[in-house]
Amino acid sequence: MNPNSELDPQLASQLKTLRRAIPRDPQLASRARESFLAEAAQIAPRVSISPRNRLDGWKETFTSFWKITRREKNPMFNITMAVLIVLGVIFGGGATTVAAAQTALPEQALYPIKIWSEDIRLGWEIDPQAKLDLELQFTARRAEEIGAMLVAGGPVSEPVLTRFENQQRQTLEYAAGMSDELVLPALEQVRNQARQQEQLMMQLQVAEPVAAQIRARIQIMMQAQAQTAQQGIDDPLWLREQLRLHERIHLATPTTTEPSLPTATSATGNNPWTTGTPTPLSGYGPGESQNPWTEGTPTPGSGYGPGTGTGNNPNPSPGSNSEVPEKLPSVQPGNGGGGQPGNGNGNRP
Amino acid sequence: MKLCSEQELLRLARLFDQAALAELYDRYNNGIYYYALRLLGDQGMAEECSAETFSHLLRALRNGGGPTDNLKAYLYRSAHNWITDYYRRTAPLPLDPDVDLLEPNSDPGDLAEQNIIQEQVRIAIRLLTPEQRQVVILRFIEGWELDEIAISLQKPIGAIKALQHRAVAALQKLLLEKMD
Repeated sequence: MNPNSELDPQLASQLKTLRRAIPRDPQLASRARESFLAEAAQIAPRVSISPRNRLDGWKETFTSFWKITRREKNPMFNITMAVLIVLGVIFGGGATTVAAAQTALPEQALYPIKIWSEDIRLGWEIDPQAKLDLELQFTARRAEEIGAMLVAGGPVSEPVLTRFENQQRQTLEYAAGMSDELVLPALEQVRNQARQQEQLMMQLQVAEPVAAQIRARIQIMMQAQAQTAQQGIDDPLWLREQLRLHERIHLATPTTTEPSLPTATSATGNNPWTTGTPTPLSGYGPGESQNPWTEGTPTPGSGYGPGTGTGNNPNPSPGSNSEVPEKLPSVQPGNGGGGQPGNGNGNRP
Repeated sequence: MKLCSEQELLRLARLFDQAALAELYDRYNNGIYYYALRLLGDQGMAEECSAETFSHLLRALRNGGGPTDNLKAYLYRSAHNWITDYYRRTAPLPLDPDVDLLEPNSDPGDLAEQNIIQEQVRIAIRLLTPEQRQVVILRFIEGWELDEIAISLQKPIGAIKALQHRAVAALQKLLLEKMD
């Protein structure tokens, strides 16, 4: 449709006059065209800004990530960055090492780190119940380690056994040190774990005779631990007193009272637990039974004793054995012989 | 060089291909020139408007801008903006155009009469708003369709029709009623 048909004819006629135009000057038109093309050639973008950027621009792309635009050099910035990097390596690497050490066995290089980390965790713990839980957890670890070594037929080193024994006693101390309303559940915890570990030891398949002897020792230790805990449940005050006396002995004779189990690596064929001469402070010995806690020498004033002693010293003097906490499961290396005789006047069953 | 597609022409123009730019110029430059001449009534100004319009296109392409399609609409819109700016720069017309539009002592010859009418129409168109002016020129002088004008002005067709209606009414008032 012709647009002009929409218009008034006279208006359309007037507008039509605009269509008539003077022809364009060809020279001006040609010059304008040349100017246009020249301008286009002049402002046309080049392939790259400069040959240098084209050659190593990719380097700039990577290095720009690490560049920190600074107006001036600041020595403190470099020092701070160095310290941060060193701390990151130390703490980051240390944490990784500690984590890796948690599965280490005693023969492995990372085992000392595992033990160290356990001590650190115990040292930081304040809550008595949490402290007991941690110690029980670490004791269970020792039992697992010893079990794994026995199954493998390898020797169980003296420090491992010593630590296991110490941790057992430590659980008793933590439990006995709790408030009256918490002491009974805590001692039950200790007792139950000892019984459980005894069962686990019993189920171990060990072939080597030495390993079997060590297993028997551990079982006896577990039985003694469970029995002590049970007696503490029956009479917490008595247990606390025994622990207090044991601690006094430790403080008085630190060189002789540090308990240690006979090492399995000696492989003498004799069980030091049941043979040899008992030391006055050990309290361990075969006596009538394998439990030195109930069969050993009663402590004067404690009211504790087997009732019918079979030892060869029917009249123990206060100066000889009167303050020895013989019921605690501790032994001296190389002894563990005959138990101290009871006097037969104890009032505990 | 004859490129069939405006899209292809634009693609090559973005690469500053000289042949494509020459083709683009030849295709649209005369139209822009005469569009400017009809509105401005001066060959020199029309040449300047045409040159500025295409130079503006080159700069836009160089900066990654410019049209992605509808190159023709882009060029006419650009030329129209230049003309509008020119109108603003030059001295404003008298508020009452009657005196200037009608010249009783004009030459009675055909050509002279045509020139006078042409000038009167040009002045009347200049009195329109920029958008009305563009609609009148593109619709009734250049012969564009409404949808093409809508693309050029970037407005819906309904708005273009309304602009056209108001522009025609204004022209009738300026050109016809004063002559009666």
